[in-house]
Amino acid sequence: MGAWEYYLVVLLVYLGTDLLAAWGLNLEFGVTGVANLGYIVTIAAGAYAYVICTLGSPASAGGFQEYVGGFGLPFPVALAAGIVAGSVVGVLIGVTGLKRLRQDYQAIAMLVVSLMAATVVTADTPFLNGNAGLVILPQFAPLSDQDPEVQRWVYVGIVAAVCVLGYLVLRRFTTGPIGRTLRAVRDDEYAAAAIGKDIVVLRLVVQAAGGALGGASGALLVAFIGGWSPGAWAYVETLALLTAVIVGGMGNDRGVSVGTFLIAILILQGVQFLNDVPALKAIEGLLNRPALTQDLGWIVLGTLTILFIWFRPQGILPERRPKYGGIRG
Amino acid sequence: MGSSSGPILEVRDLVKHYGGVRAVDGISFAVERGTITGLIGPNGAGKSTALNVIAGFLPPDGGRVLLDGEDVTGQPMHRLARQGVVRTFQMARVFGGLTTIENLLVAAPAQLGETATGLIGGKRLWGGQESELIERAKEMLTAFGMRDKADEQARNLSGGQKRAVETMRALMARPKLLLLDEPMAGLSPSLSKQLEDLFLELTHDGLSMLLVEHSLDTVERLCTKVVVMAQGKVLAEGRMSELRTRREVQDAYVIG
Amino acid sequence: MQLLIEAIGFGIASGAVIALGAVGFSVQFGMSNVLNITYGALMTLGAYIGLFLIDRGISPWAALAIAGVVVGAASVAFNRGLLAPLVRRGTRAFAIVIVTVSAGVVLQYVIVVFAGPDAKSYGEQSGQTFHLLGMVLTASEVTIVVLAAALMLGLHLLLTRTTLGRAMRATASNRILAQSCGIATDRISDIAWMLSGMLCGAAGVALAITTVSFDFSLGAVFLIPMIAAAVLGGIGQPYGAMVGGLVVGVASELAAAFTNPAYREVVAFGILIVMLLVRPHGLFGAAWATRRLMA
Repeated sequence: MGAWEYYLVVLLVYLGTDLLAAWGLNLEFGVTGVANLGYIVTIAAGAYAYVICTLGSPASAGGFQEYVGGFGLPFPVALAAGIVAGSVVGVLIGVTGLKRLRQDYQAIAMLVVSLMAATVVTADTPFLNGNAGLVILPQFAPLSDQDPEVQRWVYVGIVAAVCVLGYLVLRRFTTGPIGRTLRAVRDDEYAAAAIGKDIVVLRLVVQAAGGALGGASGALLVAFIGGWSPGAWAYVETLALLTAVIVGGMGNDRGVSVGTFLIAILILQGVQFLNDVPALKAIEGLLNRPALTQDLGWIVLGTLTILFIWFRPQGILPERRPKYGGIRG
Repeated sequence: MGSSSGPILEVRDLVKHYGGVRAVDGISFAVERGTITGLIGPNGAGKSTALNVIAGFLPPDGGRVLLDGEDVTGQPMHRLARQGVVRTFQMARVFGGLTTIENLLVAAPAQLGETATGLIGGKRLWGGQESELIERAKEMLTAFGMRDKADEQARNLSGGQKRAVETMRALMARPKLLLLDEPMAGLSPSLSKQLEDLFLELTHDGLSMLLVEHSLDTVERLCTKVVVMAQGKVLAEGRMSELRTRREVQDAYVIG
Repeated sequence: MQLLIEAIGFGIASGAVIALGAVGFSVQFGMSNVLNITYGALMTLGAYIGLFLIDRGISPWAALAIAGVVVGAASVAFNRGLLAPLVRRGTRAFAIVIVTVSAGVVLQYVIVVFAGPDAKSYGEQSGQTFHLLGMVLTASEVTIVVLAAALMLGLHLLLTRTTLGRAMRATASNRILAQSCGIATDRISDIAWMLSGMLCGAAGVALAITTVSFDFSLGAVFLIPMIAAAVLGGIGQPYGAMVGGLVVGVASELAAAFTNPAYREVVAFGILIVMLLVRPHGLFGAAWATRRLMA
């Protein structure tokens, strides 16, 4: 497999897993109005759950990393466990917004959950190997007797299949009467309660569904990259997904997909290529700053979010509502 | 209790503080079945606060609220709404991202599409109910003269239109008791008149209403009974025609 | 026992810095009703301005004052240029939080681009240490505790004894009413953002003075303890925020001393979440604050 073909596979897996995550966050934030600044924790939960389900017991692997569990389960079961873990964690995060807090207070409470989870996982090494993180050995191979090139493409197929399934589930929530009700909760929770909508239950259901998508994203990602550590799920990662949702168009599933492609692939991968620009390379060398491009990536994302909220809060593809025919009979 | 002969709503010694201020200070009154009761009084009398407590929007600091003879004191808004108590707000609240007709549709009770089975089963399960709701919503829009605004995003409507949407939405929820906070404010005179007729018609079908309203003429036309509030207390109760001549009512309005 | 007393000593020192930041946060939130997450990055900015000045031979205390003024000005500009216009346009609260989070991230990484990601230090702090009831505090820690107390007292007097202070409190509790009473609310709000930014910048420098080394995440790490202290004390209550700062500081150091040092921040996280869920208007919160939370 050539370098470019390999890179293409990587991009496709990233795109797939980012799509799942952005759809989940859009369901929570764009459709239901819960600014879940701790969304990345559901992705982390899916990833960790996948890892500890797929690994054998810590001792059997030579004891070079510590973790709870270690069940040696096959891929589909571990993936399911990741989805369930994401869902459960999503609900737990949602509980912090259960009280009728102002939306900005909810957002902060969820951000704090994200920081707290990262601190605890980092500090408590016996739990999930702390700061060093966990490595999956051996890595997942869909078809054990094939050569690596075919394996990778098969994995892209698996990710695509989960994405299709995830999109179908997502559409069940974002369209029809339930999608309408969730948007009503987003637009005015008090008016929604006044017509009998149970805001708390609806939000928790959405947290469960959005978390499940996040969990799927994390599990699929970690199975591909083969390792997971607190560095992979810093709270700012949620911001990247939020940027995708805001730029693409809050509440519009297709818009968010476009936004994810723009942010995750064009900008974040594009920024990596700045490394190949000789002039920038020279500046980096001059300043002795190897990670400069990544820093620039965050600056670009943050600025984009602000610019869109200022100039085009509805995003590239604004939310569209069904028409029932106003003028006729 | 729970009899169908007693009043639909009974408020007993209701109290609500704001800090040190007793916004609602031990009020009692009842709303009879199939009638419209007016709640009037000068600005700051505590009418909206009383409505907010009755509707479950604010928790009371004392007293009881009985619906059909059953104690519903302090129940949250959505639970009361499911028992048929639907309210509107002083400042009209619409779902701005939804269209006008969707604002109506969303209020329909017991929608199959909102249930777990509806989610799994998909449109096959809820499609039929949905088309019935769409027909009902269109009829109501026509009655309110807003048929041509059906697909307009609600955030783009005028103030009066938003208020009308809120009233239609409340009616779509199939209430037994409507709590209306100044439904006529900002409406054109002709639409107000239409709305008055509609309200009277609905009471003939058994709907009861508690109406907070500034226009005393409207109150006189609609309400069989009027409760006058001032400074958190019930000042007088009776028919509007009698109350107009009562000295303490006139004073309350003059002094404010 | 010795461990306990030492931990309390550390707690008072860090609590004083948290209190400085928390009071500033509280003033700003009370005035604008905007939960400004950029505050943490502005604090980092203060620490780096301090570094720039100290590297050029300016004394840490002068640097603290200058950084305070610069961050104060930046804070006013941030409100005038970005937040106030968004609020005026009716942007929803959650979108504004996302704007402040994004602005914080942008500012933080701009600092990285200019100053680099590696840990910085103001250099060895000379001077004696003080032993007080078994607590050991360095001279600069004592100075900061005293400075924080003095600033709080000054702010308290400003808010309660001066016309400006009364105008600020009036604007904070009801802007429209204050406006109709002839108060220039825009100017008052500028002053509040200036004051809050000054406290923020000063807290950044104070924090950098008391820590061995710091990096670009300084403010982000300290933001949550500051918000926790501000919420604990009741938003818009400078005294409360000061008490809140000390409670958060001491509780964090106790947790660090008796459990895992890494759990120092978890205490602040826990306090904030519990407060938001149980008593969002704070321990000393006024009744009007509760009403604002309903909106």
